[in-house]
Amino acid sequence: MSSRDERAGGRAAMPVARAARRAVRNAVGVLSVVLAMVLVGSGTAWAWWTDARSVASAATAIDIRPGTPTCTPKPDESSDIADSPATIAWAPPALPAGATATYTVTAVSDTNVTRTFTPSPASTPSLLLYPANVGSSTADRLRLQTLTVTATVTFPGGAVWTSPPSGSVKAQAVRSFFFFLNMGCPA
Amino acid sequence: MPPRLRPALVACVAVVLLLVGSTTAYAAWARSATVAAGAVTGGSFSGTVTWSTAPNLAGMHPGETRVGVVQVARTASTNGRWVYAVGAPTAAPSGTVTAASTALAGQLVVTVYTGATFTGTTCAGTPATLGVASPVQALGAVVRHCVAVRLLPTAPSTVQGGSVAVTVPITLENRSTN
Repeated sequence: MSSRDERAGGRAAMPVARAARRAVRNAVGVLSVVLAMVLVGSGTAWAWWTDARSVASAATAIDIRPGTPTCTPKPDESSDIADSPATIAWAPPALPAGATATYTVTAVSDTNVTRTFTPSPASTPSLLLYPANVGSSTADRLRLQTLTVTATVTFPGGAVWTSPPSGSVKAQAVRSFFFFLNMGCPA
Repeated sequence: MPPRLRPALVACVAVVLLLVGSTTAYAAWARSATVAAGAVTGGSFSGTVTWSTAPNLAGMHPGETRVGVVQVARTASTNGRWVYAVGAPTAAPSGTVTAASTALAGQLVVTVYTGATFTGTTCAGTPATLGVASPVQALGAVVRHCVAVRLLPTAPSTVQGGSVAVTVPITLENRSTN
């Protein structure tokens, strides 16, 4: 066979080889796509059931409001030689260990004049209220007073809270037989 | 036709004949029958999430921590292993929303721990990773987590009178992997 015939034979074989390689590449590509679809599709085909639950509990902050105060006048036999006070007392709030409380008593007259008083010491849950504490004139001292108590609490961590006002109690001075003023506790 | 295309054409024709011819070369006998349908019912999956030790959160003062223990259990009436995930706890005003309850909700910190017990007001373990599935649990397993609720030491006086619901969400899933 001449070299020309050999070269012609070789050139005829080249397209066939190239076609075969292309067919193989195409088959590999198709197989890759199919494999990817199977893997991805199988991954997303999983599903499971869920059950969502919860627990709850109610939380509130501590109540540091003092108890509603009481008013107790001095016994009558000691009220004819000088002006006499009434004892204003209240139940302290329940506080955690290490917390301290001081108190402020607020008196509002029936003419809306407001005065505040601090027990001595300030942590004492009571004070004596004299007629002179609620006015500079006899007329003012005879006015009806509405009294409430607030607590200022310092907690162990340093936080300082002031309570809302307590319930109220009334006090009013009255003249004694000898024109002294005795603080009383009207109903 | 260029000589180099002839083998490709032959191959294509052969494939086509194979596909077409293979479908027309078959003939088949057939017979049909009907099977009576039986009842098909769905399964069920449920669990329980409860307080095994309920925390007492009434009357908290600034800086105070109160603790409880939450219990997660799978109802042992169906098959399958399961996992669960603890969601982010919440503190939200309960009932009528007031300024005090809104203020209180913002001053509470709720932490779920990996440990199931506590000493005093300290939970065992470390803070749990939220939203991540637990290890696979066996059917009938009971799991517990300590929960700590703390009122920040800097909580202002305005939280007085507020009422808040503290909630710990937990989701169970009936899958055998995590």
